[in-house]
Amino acid sequence: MAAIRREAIGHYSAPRWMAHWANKPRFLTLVLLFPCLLLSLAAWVRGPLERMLGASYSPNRIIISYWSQLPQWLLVAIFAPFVLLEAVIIAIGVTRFWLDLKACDHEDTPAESRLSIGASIRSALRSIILHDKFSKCTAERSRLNSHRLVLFGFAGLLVVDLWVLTARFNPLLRDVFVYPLSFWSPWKILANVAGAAVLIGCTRMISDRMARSRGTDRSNRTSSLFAGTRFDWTFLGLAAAAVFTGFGCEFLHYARVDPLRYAIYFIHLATVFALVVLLPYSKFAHMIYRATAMVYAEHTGRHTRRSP
Amino acid sequence: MTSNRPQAWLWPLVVGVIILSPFAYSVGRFTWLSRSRPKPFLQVSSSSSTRCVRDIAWMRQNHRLLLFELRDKAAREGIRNEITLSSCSQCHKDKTQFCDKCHNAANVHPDCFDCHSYSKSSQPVALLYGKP
Repeated sequence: MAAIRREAIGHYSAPRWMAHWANKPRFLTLVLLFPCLLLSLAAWVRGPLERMLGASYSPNRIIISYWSQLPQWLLVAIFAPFVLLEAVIIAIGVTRFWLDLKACDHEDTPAESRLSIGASIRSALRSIILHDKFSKCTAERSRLNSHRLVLFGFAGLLVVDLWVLTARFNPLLRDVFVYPLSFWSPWKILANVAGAAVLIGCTRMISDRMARSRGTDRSNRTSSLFAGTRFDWTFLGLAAAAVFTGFGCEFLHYARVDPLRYAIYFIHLATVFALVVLLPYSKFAHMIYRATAMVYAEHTGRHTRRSP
Repeated sequence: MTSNRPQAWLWPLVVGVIILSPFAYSVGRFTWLSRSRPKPFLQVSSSSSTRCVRDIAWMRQNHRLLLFELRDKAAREGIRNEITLSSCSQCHKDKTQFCDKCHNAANVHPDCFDCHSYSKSSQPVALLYGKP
């Protein structure tokens, strides 16, 4: 299953050689080095750029950069083009995947078993939120809660990120918005709970895989098959590193440990960048392709053929 | 089917409550504040001047760097600049309504005020204008 998933992601991603490279350790080093160089360059040109563009501030939205060398506007300018590029790459991959599913699907399904695209998306979303397909899989059942923790944790972190990124324009912010958020801010509490969920989920997945690779998991006799490949480890490692360094930044901010907190923040940004750039080529992409397959199955009534 | 069991909804329910509660708080706060006249978050300058010793946007981000620089000059080189914590208080009279507001909101606890008091300076305001 893991091998099919890896091959499918590699086959449908664009360009395909990137997926092949993404699973090589040397490339991972490059993916981590690239943002380090990019961020260093950005910090270097920040001053002249700020003078050229003119500093601006909103009186009601006090957004203090975690590190004044890498202010929020500069990070948005660096990350936004890559996020847009990833969105295009994912759209190409999903289109290719959908067309291939259609081309390979020769069986007819009665019209009453089929759903409209909107209804299929709703049904697939319900399945993802409830994790009902995952809980049916007996081989992966032990990973059910870890998977839930990582998925919902990332959802929480995405919501907080969007709230902070749109703070300058958010009409719901009637009074002042100060960033970095206070520890007792409801948004910070959500970020901490979501981050803890991802970290616990990733730790459980890592320990589960390590136990299986050592063959100590007596409940599963086919242990080595589930130990995972570099493909799995890359995503797990990057996700855990991004959240771990994120917590590091938070605690060092409270403790005001000055040079170290900037270093950890730099590493945090580099790991988040790697996670974003590798999204269409890493295991992260299974979230997109699996959801597409579920929508397709609902849309064509394929799932009714498989489970009468 | 598994999803029809009530406990299958427990996870989404708990996650939904956790994710939506900050939204509920923000919407509630928005509604509450919409009823009353908004109060300024920071105390505006009480001086007749509208200029700070540096650009306001720069000061918001870097005022601590300026204070560090002044501290080092005073402590190591014996050079005392006209800009001091006391001169800040000429315009921003109430520390609790100015410094503390952002520091508390951003969970920042500088140790400057452990030793230095934030009192009103007797220096004329004109001396506060440093480099633009």
